[in-house]
Amino acid sequence: MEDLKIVNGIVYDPLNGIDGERLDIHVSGGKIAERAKAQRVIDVKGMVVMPGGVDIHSHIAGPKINMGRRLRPENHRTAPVPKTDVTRAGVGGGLSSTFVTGYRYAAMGYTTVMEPAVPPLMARHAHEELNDIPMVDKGCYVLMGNNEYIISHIHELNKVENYVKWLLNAAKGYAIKAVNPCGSDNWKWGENVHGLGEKGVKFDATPKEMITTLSEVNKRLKLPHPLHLHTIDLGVPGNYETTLETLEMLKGKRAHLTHLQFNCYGGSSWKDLSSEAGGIAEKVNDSKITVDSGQVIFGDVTTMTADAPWQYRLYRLSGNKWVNNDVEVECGGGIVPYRYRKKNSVNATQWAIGLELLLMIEDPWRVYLSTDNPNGGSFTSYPYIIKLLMDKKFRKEELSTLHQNASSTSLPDIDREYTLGEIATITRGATAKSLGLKNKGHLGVGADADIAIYPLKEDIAKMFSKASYVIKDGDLVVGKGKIISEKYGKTFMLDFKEKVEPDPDVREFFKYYTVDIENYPVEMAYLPRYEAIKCG
Amino acid sequence: MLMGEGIKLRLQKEFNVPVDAPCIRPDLFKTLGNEKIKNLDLHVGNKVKGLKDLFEVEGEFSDEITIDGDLSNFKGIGHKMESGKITIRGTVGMHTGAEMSGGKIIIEGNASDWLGAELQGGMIRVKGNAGNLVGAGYRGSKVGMRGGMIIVEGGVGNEVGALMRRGTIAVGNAGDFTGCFATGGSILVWGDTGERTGAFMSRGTIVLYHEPKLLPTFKYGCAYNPVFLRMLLRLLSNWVDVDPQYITGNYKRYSGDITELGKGEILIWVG
Repeated sequence: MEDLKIVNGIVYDPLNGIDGERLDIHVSGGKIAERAKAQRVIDVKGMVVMPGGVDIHSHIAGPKINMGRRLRPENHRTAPVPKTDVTRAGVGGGLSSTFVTGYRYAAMGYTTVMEPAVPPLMARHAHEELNDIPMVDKGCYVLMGNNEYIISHIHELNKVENYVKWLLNAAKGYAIKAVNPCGSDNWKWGENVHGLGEKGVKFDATPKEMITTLSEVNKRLKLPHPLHLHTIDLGVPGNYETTLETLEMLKGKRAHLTHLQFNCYGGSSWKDLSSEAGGIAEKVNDSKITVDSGQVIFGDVTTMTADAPWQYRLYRLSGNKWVNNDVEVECGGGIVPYRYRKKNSVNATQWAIGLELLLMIEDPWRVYLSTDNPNGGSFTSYPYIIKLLMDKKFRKEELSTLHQNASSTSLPDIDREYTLGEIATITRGATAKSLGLKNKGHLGVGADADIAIYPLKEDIAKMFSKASYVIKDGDLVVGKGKIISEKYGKTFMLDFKEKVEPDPDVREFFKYYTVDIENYPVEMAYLPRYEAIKCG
Repeated sequence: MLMGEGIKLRLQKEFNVPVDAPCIRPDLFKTLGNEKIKNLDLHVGNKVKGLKDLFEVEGEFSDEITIDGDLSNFKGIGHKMESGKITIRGTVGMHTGAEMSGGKIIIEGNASDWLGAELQGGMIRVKGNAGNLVGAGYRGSKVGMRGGMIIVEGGVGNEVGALMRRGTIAVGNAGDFTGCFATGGSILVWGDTGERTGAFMSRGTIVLYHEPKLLPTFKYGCAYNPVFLRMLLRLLSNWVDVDPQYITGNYKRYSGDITELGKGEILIWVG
């Protein structure tokens, strides 16, 4: 690892308050340094220097994405990626193979990616797959919103706290994820939950209790990232009321509402679906909640979520092939291929809502860029979204090609254009801050030397799709949008400072499992390269 | 530009490893001189080699290609071709003529699996036998063959015309699952068929000349002599020997698969 000096670049580093200043960056020993005896000087005159991108929500590993790959062979056949001298072969498409996922993220200047939905029982496999994703640092969130132990001990906060701690440690996860809390568990009896106060068919817990319990536990454990919540009633027309209620309930608390676009629908049916992004954005502006957009991209996608009842509904809507899955006593899941169409009124409105959220939530530190890859679209569409955010004219042009319903949202009236500094915020600075990763998302002294350097181009989408240089942990890995050397990043896990032992009744609970409790936790051998982030 | 002289490829030695040869297509060769044709890349196992390392190449600027030799390890010849003609004097490997949309492929020996898979147009004739999944849709596709014609004089394997939507397939004998998941198109089998013919078909026609073992989900309708079939058989008699009794005779009509839409039909010749 040689020391580097990056000179003459225009630096955007929102976490350190640097907004387009000409600065030199010194790299020594894989970290940003005050001053380094540079063995190599990279002149980046006229280029934009940003910290490496941090993606807060992208399904890149684990059982769902793998099942999706199995379900969609046609997705791979049409997108082969041959090997080069430094990279390995794989397939592209919306469900790219592990290696290709890493290369594509790196080529766009992203260096940290979080896998947001891992059932603890499948965590071992998720880690195996994460280990095979090159170029980026990664971590995973653990699904807990439908865990039957938590459901049955919902009123015993201490027990839940200890269990969550043990589970995070067992799965080597980084954050708590709740997907359709209580709804996916109710699906075991063929039902969903509608409204925050609805109890399950066979259990005495409501989504409201689940969300508040997990958010409280998250607070008590002082986890670096707040509760990562995929709320109930996702994708249902008229669901904005539930979303507003959820936001009200979480007022003053820390939480992250993910792919919020799918939760901002007005109307009573698919025919009169409308955008309620304005009201939601206002509510988010008034709270401490952070959100990511879940932008929809037109074209072929594979939807996959632990929200099993919603996936059944989507299958009924689309008539496409589907998978629905039940992960013992932990959660469920489903996969349905889907095509977002420009001339479809619902899809066009969804597209507009995603942008409305990004443009109407005023504070860029609380709204992040995401496509919920691969649900809304592939992560490779990020440059296109950035262009939409930065270029009002382009937004209008795109809007004119869509179904007229997209124009009846408030999007045509929004004049806001993101600056490069704000783009740097929503794609790296703010996401790293929300994740509690102190060494990521900025270029201050001591930070990991993850640096993305973009050519300043008229076409913003082209500028962000191929970074001129990417430096990962002090090594130059990308040159002119191409991978020039392969490097494997680390996996983030949590450090609870003390040994975590399960309660005796957790041992008792394991009689419902196909796995013995001794074999359940993921061994450290599955994390050959890791960094433990301290809680608190 | 010399047209009509034809390009001759003669295989120099046999290969034990698979050779990926989608570059052998007449609409490409038509635009290339002899030197350029010789330098086209082929994947031989895990190595990239030039066409000249495998074949003796004669001729240039022509959309008629004649290939001599045992090509059983050659995959994807004529893949996605749009025009021209390939004549193969010997056996050929998998995916021959897959996704082609025009032109003609004549195979004098046998062909392997996935012959004319997802065919969109043009014609493929095989004088010998062919493998499984002739004119089928690739795994995961919703639709298989969308047009064109495949004629196999010998027998074929299983799943012929799976997921077929349009076009015609005529074969000697067929294996199991002929025309499964079909949503259109016509399949004619002069000889025997295996089990579960037309399983899951929602539309389309399968014509059989030997009494098959039908699925219980096909319902007998009537016996008649369909006009379209008379026309189709007269057309086919340009390339294969069609017994005149087939044209004049009656057919039992079964509709199915009634677990699906049930608008498909199996016609069985009764004489």
